[in-house]
Amino acid sequence: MAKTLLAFTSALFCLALGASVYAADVKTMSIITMNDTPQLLEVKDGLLKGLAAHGYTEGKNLKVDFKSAQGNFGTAQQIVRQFIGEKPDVIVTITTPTSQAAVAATKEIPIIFTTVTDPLKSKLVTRLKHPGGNASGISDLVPTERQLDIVKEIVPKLKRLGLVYDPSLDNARSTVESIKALAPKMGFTTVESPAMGLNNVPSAGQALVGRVDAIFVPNDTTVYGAFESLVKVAQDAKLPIFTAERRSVQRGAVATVGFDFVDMGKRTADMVDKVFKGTKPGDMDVQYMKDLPNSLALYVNKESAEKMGVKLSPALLKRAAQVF
Amino acid sequence: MSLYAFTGALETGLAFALVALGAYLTFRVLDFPDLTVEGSFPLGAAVAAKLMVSGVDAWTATIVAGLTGCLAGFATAFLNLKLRILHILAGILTAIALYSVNLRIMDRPNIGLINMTTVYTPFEKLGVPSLYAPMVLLLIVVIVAKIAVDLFLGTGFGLAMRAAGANPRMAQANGIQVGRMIVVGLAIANGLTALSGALFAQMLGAADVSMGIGVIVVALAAVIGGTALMPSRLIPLLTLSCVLGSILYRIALALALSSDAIGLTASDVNVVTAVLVAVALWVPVRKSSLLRRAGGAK
Repeated sequence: MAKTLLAFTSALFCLALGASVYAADVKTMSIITMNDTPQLLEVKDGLLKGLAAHGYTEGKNLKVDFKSAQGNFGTAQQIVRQFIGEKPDVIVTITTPTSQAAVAATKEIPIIFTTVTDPLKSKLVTRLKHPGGNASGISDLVPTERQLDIVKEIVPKLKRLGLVYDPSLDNARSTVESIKALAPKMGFTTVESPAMGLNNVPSAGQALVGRVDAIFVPNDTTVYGAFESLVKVAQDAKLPIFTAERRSVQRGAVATVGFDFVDMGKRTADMVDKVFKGTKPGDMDVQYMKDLPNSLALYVNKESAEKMGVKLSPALLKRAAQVF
Repeated sequence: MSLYAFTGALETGLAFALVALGAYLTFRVLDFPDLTVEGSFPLGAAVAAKLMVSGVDAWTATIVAGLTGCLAGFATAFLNLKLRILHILAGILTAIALYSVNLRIMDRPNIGLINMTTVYTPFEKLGVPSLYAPMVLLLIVVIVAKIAVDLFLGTGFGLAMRAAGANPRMAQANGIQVGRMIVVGLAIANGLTALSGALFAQMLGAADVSMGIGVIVVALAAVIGGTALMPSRLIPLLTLSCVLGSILYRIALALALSSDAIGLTASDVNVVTAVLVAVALWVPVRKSSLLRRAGGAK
């Protein structure tokens, strides 16, 4: 027991020494993410790039502490506690559960949340305009209607749309709900094919072959984790796949209208910069990435489209921000 | 490690101590490796959260959540005893089924509980700083649960359960219904686990369907680590070591999380934790082998 105590006190001293090295004009930012998926790491990279553009250089006038809970909720809770103890100038929370843990744990330290789909339903804020309190941030709610417009433009005879998604993911599920609500108005029906876990992604795709005219994948880290296997199924069956973000188009989806996660990180950085300059998060409106100026662009994959049996018109290719 | 990191480790450790007590009953007393907990932990969180947002008071919600955990234990016992499915597999089957059940209960993968009246709120009103409020209640709940388990294992029924785990054939021959012991043991263990899930969700500010990930590892680390650090043959000391094991695991994790200074990064947390737990397991072994060598001449 005495040894453990000794270890604690020496650890405490080390931390105290480490903290005193930094001068007063150094801003401190602690970032927590629930998982280390590529999209979320892109947000973090964008955040650091954005802050660099605002004049904050890591190691010079910015100290960054980045931690991942690696999917474990107990760990997330402890990381949040540790951050609060270090009293950074801002805590940036990536994903819904980490944002909830931080907002529940502190009413003082400013929190900027990002990649949260529904800040109201997740109880992070009680209103979007001037939310009050110590938290504000950016929602990654996708422009679903615009994405479905592109599906209809490329597959004009669309009657049945297959949806491959992991029902345990809040983001994916809310997108699927809104697609089902939009479907009658847009003149097609939906066929759901749930994929719980990476291993079930290819079979979820196979289950749709012959039953649908096209497949749509919402923002879903599970399906994107095994996306190549779904692309292969779709190419073999000549079924076009559409997605909700850019990176998956590069990996073989036909097209999407969406935002870039690095860009989303940069927009998060704009909010963090305001916090550094003294604005309270409670005075900053919660933003929706899809509604921000110049956040949306059309991305297409010409080669994969041909393999999936659809032709992209020259006019469409011209409109695209990027052709893979 | 700051005070906040330390109290964070303590309260998380206390919340998971209930899972550790349950795991002690199944793994150690009954010799039944029960993996149901990966499903019954988020089940407790889901039931409590759903009831709370539907307007049920937090205490009732928490108790009902614990009782639904008992049902999860019954399910695993049924699969094992009636359908003759291997114990590990029975637990896995219940856990994956609970994943879908939890989604149904919550109707979505995540329910936020921020700014709601939770079981911790009365303690804040009594003047306990909000930082310590969860710890005070959790400490009371864990002590009560620990003593209850101790007393239970001392009753005739509890002794029968220990016999059923230690030597099922002998127990059967002496008229103990081993099946009934497994049913009751699993129900208590998963009830404690679901209670832990409900309490943890209210502390975290949300119930999430993915909350069960890694619960079994944490429980095992607490039971094995705790009893390795404090070996004993007395039930009250063994249950105490499970509780302490759960807290020490969290302190180890907190140390791992603040290990940036020595060149480790965020993604190394799991391996650092594994090394710390392995060392905790190895130290008592080494100590006893040294003692044996020293006393070899005797």
